[in-house]
Amino acid sequence: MELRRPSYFALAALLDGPLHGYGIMKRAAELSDGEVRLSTGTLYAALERAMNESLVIAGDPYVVAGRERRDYQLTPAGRAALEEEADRLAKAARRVQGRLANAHRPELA
Amino acid sequence: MTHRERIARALLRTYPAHTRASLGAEMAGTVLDSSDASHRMFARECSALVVAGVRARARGSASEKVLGQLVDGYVLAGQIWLGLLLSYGTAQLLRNPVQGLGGGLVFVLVLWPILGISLIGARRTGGTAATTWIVCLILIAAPTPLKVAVTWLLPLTSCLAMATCQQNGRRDLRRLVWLAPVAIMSLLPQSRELALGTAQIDGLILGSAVAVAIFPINPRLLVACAVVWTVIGLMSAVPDHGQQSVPLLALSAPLLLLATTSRLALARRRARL
Repeated sequence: MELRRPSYFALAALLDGPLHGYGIMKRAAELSDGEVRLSTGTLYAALERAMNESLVIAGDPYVVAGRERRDYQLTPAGRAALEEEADRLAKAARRVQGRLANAHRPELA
Repeated sequence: MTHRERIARALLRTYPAHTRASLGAEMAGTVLDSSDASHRMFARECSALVVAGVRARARGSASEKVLGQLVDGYVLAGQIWLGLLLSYGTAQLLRNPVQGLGGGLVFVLVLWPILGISLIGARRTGGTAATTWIVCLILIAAPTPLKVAVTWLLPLTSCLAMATCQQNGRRDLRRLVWLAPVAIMSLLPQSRELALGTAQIDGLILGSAVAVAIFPINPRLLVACAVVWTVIGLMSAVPDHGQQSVPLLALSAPLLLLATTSRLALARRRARL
């Protein structure tokens, strides 16, 4: 199963343990060196899909400073999907890097 | 509740009801968490929320059964048709109250409560009443009951579908607000056009434009508009009812309905992939 970029980093954010929505957004931004900045809409769409496919489970809601939160946790299936996607991306990167190393550099006029 | 929280909760209405119920409060909290200090971030979050909400609705709509959506659209067509007739009848009555005291007053007095009942959620009751009313209308329309029956076939089956195929919804008096456009169309100046008044036809054109715009998230309105245009086309093609014969309209509306159905089936197949 191919994961989209937001879903990939949202799931990767949960590798170190359960996080709430805003926590996932911050961690995903750190993991991607600021390249992926999840909005609330994108994040919850990705979480809803992941929950439907049992890649993530949601904990019970709790309230902090008047705002409702819920912690999300990666399931074994979610971890496996993440590993599969990371392998796929790594293989694709290695293949291109190999071609780049062997290919002749075009000479600039 | 803060001003920003109110805005976030209002924008969450773009999401389907079940998502709002399960994740709404948490999503509003996350919007506030992620944009605490910045107006720009809050604006970005709000726009992204609307886009994601519309997409969620589109996904939900595409995964529903095509037949169910067609039946819903067909039932909605019955309500729209009753609304247009009611508006036209009321306009005629207001313009010429003395002449309208005969059949026109009864027509209007019966239709307002029927439409009101079906709008607030008592669809079976409203559908049964509307079906009975149309049957009576056909029976008393001698000497050409067959011609009347042909033009009333679609509204009759649509009201019958309302009475039989749909569950009574949760009672919600707020839906009576949909009587406001009917009342407004009644008050607008108008002349007769395509078997109804100009205000009703303009209202239907506006409604059809909205239906095309919201088709990806709710195809029912477009199905309903296509059915209503078909009814108007048929009525206009019958000389007793229309001033002009409009066979092109009668032909194009079913084609539009067919195109809508195909588009629905395609959207559903894509949603499965």
